[in-house]
Amino acid sequence: MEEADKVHEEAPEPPVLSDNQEDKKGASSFKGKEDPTEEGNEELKTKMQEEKKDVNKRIMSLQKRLTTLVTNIQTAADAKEMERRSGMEDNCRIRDERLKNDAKACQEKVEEIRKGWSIVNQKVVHSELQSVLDSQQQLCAAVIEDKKKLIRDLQQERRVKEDQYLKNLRRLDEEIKLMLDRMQQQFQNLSKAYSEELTQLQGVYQQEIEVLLAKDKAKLDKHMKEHWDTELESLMERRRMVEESEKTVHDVMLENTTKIKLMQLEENAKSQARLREQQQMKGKSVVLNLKQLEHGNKNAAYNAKLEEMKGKILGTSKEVKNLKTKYAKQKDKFMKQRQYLSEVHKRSRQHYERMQKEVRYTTAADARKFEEMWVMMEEEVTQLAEKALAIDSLICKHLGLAWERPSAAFMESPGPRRSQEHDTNPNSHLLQTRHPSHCSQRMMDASVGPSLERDSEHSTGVEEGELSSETLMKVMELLCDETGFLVEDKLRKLLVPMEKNEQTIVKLHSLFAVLGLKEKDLPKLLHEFLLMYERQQGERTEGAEAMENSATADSTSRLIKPNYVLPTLRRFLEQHRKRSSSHQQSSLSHPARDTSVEEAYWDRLGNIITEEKLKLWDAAERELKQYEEVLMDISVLVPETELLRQQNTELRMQLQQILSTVLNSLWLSAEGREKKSRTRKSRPSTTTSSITQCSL
Amino acid sequence: MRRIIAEDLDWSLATVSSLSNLCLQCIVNNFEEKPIYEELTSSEKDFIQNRVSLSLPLHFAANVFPDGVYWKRRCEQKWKVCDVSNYGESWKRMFFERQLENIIELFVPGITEPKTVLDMVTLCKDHIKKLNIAQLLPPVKEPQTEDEEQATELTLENEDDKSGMDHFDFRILLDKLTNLEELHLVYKVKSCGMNFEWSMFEMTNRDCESLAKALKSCKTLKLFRLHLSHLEDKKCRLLVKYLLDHPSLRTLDFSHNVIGDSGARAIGKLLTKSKLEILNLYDNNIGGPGAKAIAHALSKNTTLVSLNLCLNRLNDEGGQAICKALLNNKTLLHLQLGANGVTWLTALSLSSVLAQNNTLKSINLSCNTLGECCILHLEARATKKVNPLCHLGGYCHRGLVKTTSGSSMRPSFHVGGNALEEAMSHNTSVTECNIHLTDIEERKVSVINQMVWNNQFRKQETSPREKNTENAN
Repeated sequence: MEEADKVHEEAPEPPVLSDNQEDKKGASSFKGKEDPTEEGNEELKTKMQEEKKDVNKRIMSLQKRLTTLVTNIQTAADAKEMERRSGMEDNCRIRDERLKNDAKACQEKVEEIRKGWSIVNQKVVHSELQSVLDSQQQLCAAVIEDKKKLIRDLQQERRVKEDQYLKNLRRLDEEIKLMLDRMQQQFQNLSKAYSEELTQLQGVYQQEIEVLLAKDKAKLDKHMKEHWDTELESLMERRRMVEESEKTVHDVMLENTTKIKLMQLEENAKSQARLREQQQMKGKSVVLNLKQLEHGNKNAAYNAKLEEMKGKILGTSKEVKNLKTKYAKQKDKFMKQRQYLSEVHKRSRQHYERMQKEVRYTTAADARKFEEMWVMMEEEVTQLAEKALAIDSLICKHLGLAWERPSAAFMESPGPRRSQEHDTNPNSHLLQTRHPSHCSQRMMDASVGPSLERDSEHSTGVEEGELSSETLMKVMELLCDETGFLVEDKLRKLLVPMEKNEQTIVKLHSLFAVLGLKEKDLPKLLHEFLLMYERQQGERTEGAEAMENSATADSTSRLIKPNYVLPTLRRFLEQHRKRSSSHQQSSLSHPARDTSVEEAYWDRLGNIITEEKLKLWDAAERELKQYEEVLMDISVLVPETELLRQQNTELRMQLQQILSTVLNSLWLSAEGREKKSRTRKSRPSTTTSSITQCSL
Repeated sequence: MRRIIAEDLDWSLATVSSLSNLCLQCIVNNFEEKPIYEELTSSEKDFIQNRVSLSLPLHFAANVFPDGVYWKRRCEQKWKVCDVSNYGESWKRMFFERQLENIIELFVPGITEPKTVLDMVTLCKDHIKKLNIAQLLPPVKEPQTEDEEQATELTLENEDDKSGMDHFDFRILLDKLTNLEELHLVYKVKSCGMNFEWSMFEMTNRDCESLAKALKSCKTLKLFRLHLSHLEDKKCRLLVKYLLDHPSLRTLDFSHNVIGDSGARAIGKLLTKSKLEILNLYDNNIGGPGAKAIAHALSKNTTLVSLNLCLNRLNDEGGQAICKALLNNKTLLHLQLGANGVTWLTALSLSSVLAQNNTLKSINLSCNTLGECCILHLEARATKKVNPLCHLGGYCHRGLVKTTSGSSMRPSFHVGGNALEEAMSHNTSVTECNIHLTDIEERKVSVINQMVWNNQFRKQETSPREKNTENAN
């Protein structure tokens, strides 16, 4: 079996190999045929294809070998199985047959035994029976023997089979081992074949590659050679060109050098000539230089000084500039400040004026109110006085006294206030006279500031009418002279070259400044002087000692003595100061009123009813009160009497009625009952009497 | 720091890991308490997958980590050999599939809680596409006294469903695996040693029923393989009955079982109803009638691509039936009739098919006595019992002539080989033909092989040439 397997497994291998070889041969021959016909790439391509085919074939054959090996093993196994099956079937059949034969034999023997048993039944003789029984026993024994034999045989067979099975197993084991070996071998073979195949393929491809490489190399060489040739040619040409150009360059250079040399010679000649000229010039210049040197030294010194000066100047100019700028800055700053301050000042002044106005207005309003109040009070008081007087007169009349009016004049005369309204008292007159002048002065100040002399002239002219400008000037001069000690020496020096008029004016200014007066006070001062003068004059006329004055009266007829100037001035100043302060006060407070007059007035009014009269009034009052009381009592009693009177009348009425009724009844029963009625009559009479009494 | 550098020559800044690495390391250390994964960048994810402890609870890790390095590490920790290419290059899938396989293979009915399986299933139901279960343990049999055994022996046979020998019940599993495509099952016990019992290597009826129902409930299944499980006709019929209307099944593999003719008939019915593409009935007990049923279905079927009937008992009756069916079938590509006891008669009918049919790609006729079986025929002719199935009597006549000339010699009329050779010369589609151990002359075998080889080569050549022409155009 194994051998057969081997044979069958190995059998297909050689043909495959031979096929391969044949294929290879065929392929090579094919190649050989086709190689010369085709050329170049096509040839290569076909070659490649051929080789590919070859490779494919080889690979396929390898695969086939592989599969055949596997299938061979499988088929071998199948075959073995088949054999086993057939063997088993055979064995089974043989056994079956044997069993059948045995069964048949057994049955025959059993039949025989049965027959024997029938014979046994027939046989009666003991010996015969015995013999038959023996034979039967023998037969049974034979049957048993047969069976036993059969069993033994079967057991033997089984044992043999077991041995066989064991052997079979062993063989299988061996086979498996062998198979494994073979598989290993095959594996090795296969790997070897594959490696061979691989090397072959590699060889083929390598050859191919070599061929290709060689071809490429040849091509490359060819190309390179061509390239080198062209390169060489071009290089040669280039060399030639270079040589030519070198030659030309050489020629040109030669020409140039000759030219240059010629030019150099010329230049040399020229330069020598120039040198000569230069030397001559130098000689001249040396002389000049010597002169110049002297100048130069001086100049240098000056220059140095100048430089210094310049530097200084520059420094100073710089400083100046700085200062200027600083100054400008400061100026600006101050300007701004001044502007600002002046604005502030203006504003405050306006404010002040406004305040003054307000104050004046309010004071005026208050004064008026006061006056009105006063007047009203006075009126009331007079009315009250009138009333009191009227009452007094009434009382007097009542008392029956003679009454006379205290003083009609007084009563008629109005109050001191009311009288003030009408006539101007001396105090107010003074004030009034002062005010207008003041106002006018102010107005003038506002209108014409600087033309002071003229104004004053004018004003004085207006006021006095006699004051001329000359006199004014004179007065002023006088004033200036006398008060010269107040003016500063410097000013006086400065004023020397000026005209007299101007001098006086300037001096006056300074004077005023010293004295703390204002320009507006000037006319007053002058006026005062004049007044003074007039007074002096008056005094003198009275005192009769102004002879000296009169002597000079013509020229300075209206001037005061220079000796009086100072005291008058002082007085004026004092006055002025007082006035200014009083003026300030007067603007605020009312003028002082005449309290004594008013007091007297009020006293008179208060005493219009005298003490005596008061005492009289008191007494009268007392009396009157008593009288009143009496009257009051009477008034209380009056209604009582009234009531009583009424009751009386009523009672009388009742009485009358009763009387009438009684009379009637009596009239009716006159005769029958005279006695009885008499008694009855007595009774009512008593009652009536009682009633009358009561009413009385 | 400086000093350290000066004194320690091995010191380098590279050993001081960057802050980000330290942070990641921290995440790794505390992964179970505070898993931070989705927010990270891909490189950071790799870092974590490479370092996270493998002892993380599975239910936790399954939800956090997608397929990647982590699962690779777990797989390699658990198994020595890990070929991820078998699992769609997905380590996670591999881990879960193998994990579930392990659990099921070690599942002992009656002792293991079904909950363990279900817990696992809830975790991995989305990842499992293939289950390859190599063993199914029977329940532990309680030691019984011999008397009782003898007493119960009869009852066992009577009510063998209630024997309590049922294996793992797939009904609890298969309807939950929504992505399952392949299921490989073996009802056997690995390395049972001296405890061997035949019952360990077969499924019970109730197993079969539960499995059939489970298969029906699994709508995504494409491949079902139940091999080495002593599948009998009855059970096969039961399974097929439930698989008749399965919407997605494409591959069915009942190899190495004991399916007989009635099972084959049921499978034939399945072939007509379903859209099976691959059917594997290797190593079964199918005889002529079963093969006829399959052949009948094959003549109508338009989906089947591969049919494997190796190692059955088809004989000429079934072989010829199938070859006849192939005259009408234009879809079958692979046909395997190896080791079926067919003779030159089948070879003749197959060669007639090969001459016409150009769809078949591979044929397996190995281990059949194609060459020498004409002795029977000759004998039959001699006894005037001409086999009506013999259509090519001419060969026999020639053989007869030959036998008459060489009277005492064993007749060696390679009728089948000749027929196949002739048929192959007309055929261009067959690229694989296994006729080893068929008693055909070696010369003819090599010729046939050469022809097959040429076909194969031609096919290989045509496809690139077509491509080339397309490129040229």
